[in-house]
Amino acid sequence: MFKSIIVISITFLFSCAESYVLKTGQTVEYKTGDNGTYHALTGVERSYSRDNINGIVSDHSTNLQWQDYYEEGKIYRTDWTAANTYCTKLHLKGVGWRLPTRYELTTIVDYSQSHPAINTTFFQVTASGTYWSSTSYMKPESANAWRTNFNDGGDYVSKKENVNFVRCVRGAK
Amino acid sequence: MKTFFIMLTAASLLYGSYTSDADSQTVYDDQTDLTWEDGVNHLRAWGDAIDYCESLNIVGTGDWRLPSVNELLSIVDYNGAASAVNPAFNFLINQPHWSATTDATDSTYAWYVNFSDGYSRSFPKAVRRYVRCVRKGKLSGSQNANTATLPAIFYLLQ
Repeated sequence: MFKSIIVISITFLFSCAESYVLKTGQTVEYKTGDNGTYHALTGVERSYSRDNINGIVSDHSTNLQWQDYYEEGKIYRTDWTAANTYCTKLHLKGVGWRLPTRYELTTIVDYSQSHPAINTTFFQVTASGTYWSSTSYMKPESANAWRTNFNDGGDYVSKKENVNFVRCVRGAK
Repeated sequence: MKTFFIMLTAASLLYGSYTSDADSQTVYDDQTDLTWEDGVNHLRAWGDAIDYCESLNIVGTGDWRLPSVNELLSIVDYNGAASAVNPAFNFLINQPHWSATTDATDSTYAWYVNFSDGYSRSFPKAVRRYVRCVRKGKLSGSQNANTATLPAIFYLLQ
């Protein structure tokens, strides 16, 4: 009985964690009635700060911290399995890092920007390319996983053995 | 009792925040506070999709609009086995749906979300895609009968 209640609470927290809708970044109106017209209505405003000493960006809208530092300035690029391992072993002002879920990765896309489609004031180390998410395609044992393209913000499926960029995350899940 | 809790857990996992209303053909998501149109599907070019939502009126409510790409992504079912179609919806199909967000690299392109597996892609605005309109808040005329708070239970019992 108590176990069930705990499970329900955990489930509730989990489902709440991905409930937010963030603004896309678009404020320009291309046609009356589009995302630009309604930008004030369409989601939560992003709220970033950057720890410049450690190279960590905090998103206060999602309570997530993002890696924005790489040794020797080289943005890490590897296959999916190694990307997961890299994040869990990352020491950047402590541990607790992991590869972001697909949804988490889409929360840092800024659709009003391109090459890269991200807020570069805070995310200062971003490749114009595809980044791994931890989310497998359809089922965990799939040979494919999702990646987000920071050229434009689109997301695509890639074979797990392929090489993509890695940005680790920690915090609310 | 135990079975009930297991069912409740499963229900909140799959459909937790969604309430579908058969009369108005809408689905309300209380986590995002958005109401989604859930009616018959039509293919429309991007501009026509916007005009369609702008002129839509459901139970006297006319403040519908085409969703942003992030709003559209919020109803993707990332756990779906066969598709990314959110099971709280009756008419949502596994096809590309227009968002109101324009591609920053080419303003003749806009973003769509394909509910086949939930990917987003930038595509020419002239191409016809499916449309789901959205509005902020709960529809005031829709809290009558037929409101299923936990539709998953019905699925599980079938």
